[in-house]
Amino acid sequence: MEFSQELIKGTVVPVILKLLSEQERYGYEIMKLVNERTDNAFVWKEGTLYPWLHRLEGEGLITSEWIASPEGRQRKYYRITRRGLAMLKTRTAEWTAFSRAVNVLLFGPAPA
Amino acid sequence: MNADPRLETFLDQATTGLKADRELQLDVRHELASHLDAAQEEARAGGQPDPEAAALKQMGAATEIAGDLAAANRRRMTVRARIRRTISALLLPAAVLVAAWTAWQIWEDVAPMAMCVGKEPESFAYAKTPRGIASSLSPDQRLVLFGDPTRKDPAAQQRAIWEAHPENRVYLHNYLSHNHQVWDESHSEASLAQTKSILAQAATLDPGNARVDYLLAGSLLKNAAKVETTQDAVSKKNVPSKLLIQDRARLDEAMNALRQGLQKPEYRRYAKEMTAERLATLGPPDSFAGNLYRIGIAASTILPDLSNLRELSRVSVLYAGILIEEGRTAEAEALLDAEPRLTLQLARDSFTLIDVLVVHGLLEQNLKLAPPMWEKLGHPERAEALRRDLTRLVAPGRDWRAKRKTGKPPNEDQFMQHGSRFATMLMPVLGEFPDPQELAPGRELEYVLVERGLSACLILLFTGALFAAGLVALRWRFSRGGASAPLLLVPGPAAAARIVLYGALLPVLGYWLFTRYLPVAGREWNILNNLARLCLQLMMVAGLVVGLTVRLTTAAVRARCQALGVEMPDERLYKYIHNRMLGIISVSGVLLVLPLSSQSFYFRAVPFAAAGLTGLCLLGGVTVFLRYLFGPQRFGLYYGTLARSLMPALAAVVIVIGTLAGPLLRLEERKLVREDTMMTVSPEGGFTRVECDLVQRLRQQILGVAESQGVKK
Repeated sequence: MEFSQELIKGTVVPVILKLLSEQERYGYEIMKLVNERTDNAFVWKEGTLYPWLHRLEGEGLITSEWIASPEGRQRKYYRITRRGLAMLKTRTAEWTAFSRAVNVLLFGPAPA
Repeated sequence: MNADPRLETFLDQATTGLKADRELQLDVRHELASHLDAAQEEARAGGQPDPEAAALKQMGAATEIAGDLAAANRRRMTVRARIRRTISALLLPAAVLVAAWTAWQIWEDVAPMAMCVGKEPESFAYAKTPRGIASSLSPDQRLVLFGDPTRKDPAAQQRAIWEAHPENRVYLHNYLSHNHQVWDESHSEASLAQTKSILAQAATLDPGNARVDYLLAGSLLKNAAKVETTQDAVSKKNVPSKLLIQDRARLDEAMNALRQGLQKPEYRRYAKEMTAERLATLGPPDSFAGNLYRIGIAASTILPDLSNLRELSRVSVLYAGILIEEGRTAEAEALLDAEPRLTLQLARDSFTLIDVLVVHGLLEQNLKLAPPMWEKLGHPERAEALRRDLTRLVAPGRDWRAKRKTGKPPNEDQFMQHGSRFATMLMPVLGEFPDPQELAPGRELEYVLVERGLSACLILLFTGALFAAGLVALRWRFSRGGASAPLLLVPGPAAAARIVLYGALLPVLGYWLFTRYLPVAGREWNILNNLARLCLQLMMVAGLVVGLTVRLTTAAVRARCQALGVEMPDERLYKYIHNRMLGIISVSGVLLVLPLSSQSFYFRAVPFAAAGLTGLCLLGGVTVFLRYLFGPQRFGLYYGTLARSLMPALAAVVIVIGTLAGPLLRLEERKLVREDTMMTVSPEGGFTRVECDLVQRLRQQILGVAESQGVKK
């Protein structure tokens, strides 16, 4: 099932923050993880990830650092900041409330 | 890097919106390229026929990415552009200003002394005044200090002070002192007439002062008679023996003026008062240069009349001999009877060691010349009494001289090892040394002066390096059609703080604590006896400041260049030093705390080794500069980027050292100059406190003996 781009856009920030809250990661790794964990349900154009990462970095939610791998390859790793963690918490709570409200609207109230 | 032109085109297009920030563009380009590399590898592993095309397809449209990237980085680009503009517009000019200010401060301190090297003491008064003095003077104070420099000769310049205050005797006698010097040089009749006229005015204003008569007598004597000397068989010294008369009438006139002076109640040159007024106008010294300047001003004021009085004294005794031969015994007796007053008048007015030594010389001269005259007059008992009296009067001076020649004065060794170099140049001639606790301020002051010099050298070195880096950046800016245009890598706040903290603040703070609070710094020794340790300490702090600043900045720039994919040379020497930095610092640290003997080979070799090492380091710096300027083109972007990025770091260090170390050392210098009472010229006389005490003591001893003998004032 392919999701609409509008719906995906609304989830990019919490998804990136969630993955970075686990550990520091580089862009390609984030993309691979999204595909793996959603079983390729999210069809992200890979190039669109970087503007998001830069935007989050500009807002101080994540930081980046170039690190050389043991093979000598340079990769830019992103790390979540305290502000990013707080934002993740807020956005997670927001998503939970939002999805619960949409569920109620679409499927009726949950049985008591 | 990606060799496929499709990938290059994609990367160029995707980052085209970031062109305004070349570092950011390279950074994002490198990040996307790294992503494409990984995607190609995976596609290749998955057996895809065209892994490059597959990777590009996954990335999406380059134009869309370019727009998103530009929008996402717009704010960041604005901030970074502002930082760059700030660095260019504020940091670099501020560093140049601080360096210029430091150089100006050093020049202000050194120039007054440099302008007077090899010149007469008077030149101090007309040379550039130390800062803090010239700006605070009123026109009248300036006149009292320097006279009127618009007039051509020194006497006329000093006359201007008296003309502005015609009732002031101090200014009058100050002018007379200078005028008499002019007369000493040209013995023309016109000059004599002018001198007589001035002295007549002075006699009206200061009628009770014998000095006016003595100056007149001295002026007349110049063309009237000369003293012939013969060598004494015992002492081998030249002794006045005969008066060669050139103009008898003028000689009589001179001796009449002398007699008139001897009848007056006092003899005063007012040199002490003039010196005291000038020193009070200058205020207390607040720098070493200011202190030297005060000494120069004092030296330009004092010591008039001494040769004139010496000449008058011996001529008067020889003249008495002529009167005896002519049968004018009553006149001769009166002159011989009055003559000792001349010496005691000078003794009362004396306030420098040279004054007192001249008094002593006059007494010794009288001891040889005057008693035989009394014998000629047929008064052997008067001759004997005079011998006895004069022997008692010369005793204090003889004792002091004998003490200087025989035996070691107490405190001498301690003084020579722990006193300042300035003091050890001036004190030994006195033969008396101050208590050891008085030595600390002057000694520490010299360390502070050296440190001020070093901090200025460091600032100038860094400023020179700043310009050299600018030159390297400029050279690569226009090479290869701008392809090697250097980047100004903007360090984050943490990296910038680290460079300033480790490069400047910590080494300087460590040096301060080490030298001020640890006895192993050796500051209880004077600067020459501690030269080896001092060299090590200065080399250590200078090396750390230069080494750490350059190393930290270079390391940050290299890491960033590597991240941006900038091609770099393999810096083997840099890596060698980089890997041994801790070892070099440790060895230097151990050398710093070694207990040293000033006679050891190590102690004597260190200053030469330090000078050699400094020369090598400077040579190394020039070599690196030339290499960065003319190195291979393919490394141009790296050379230029390193040079351009070093500039803000060097500027920051210049600002930190210039605004912290400079003012702190100036404050310390001022405190020590004011604490160093020993080397401060005193309005009471003498160039040092020890000289002042010695003069007072010898003077009191001579006057005490004279009083007990009932010598008339």
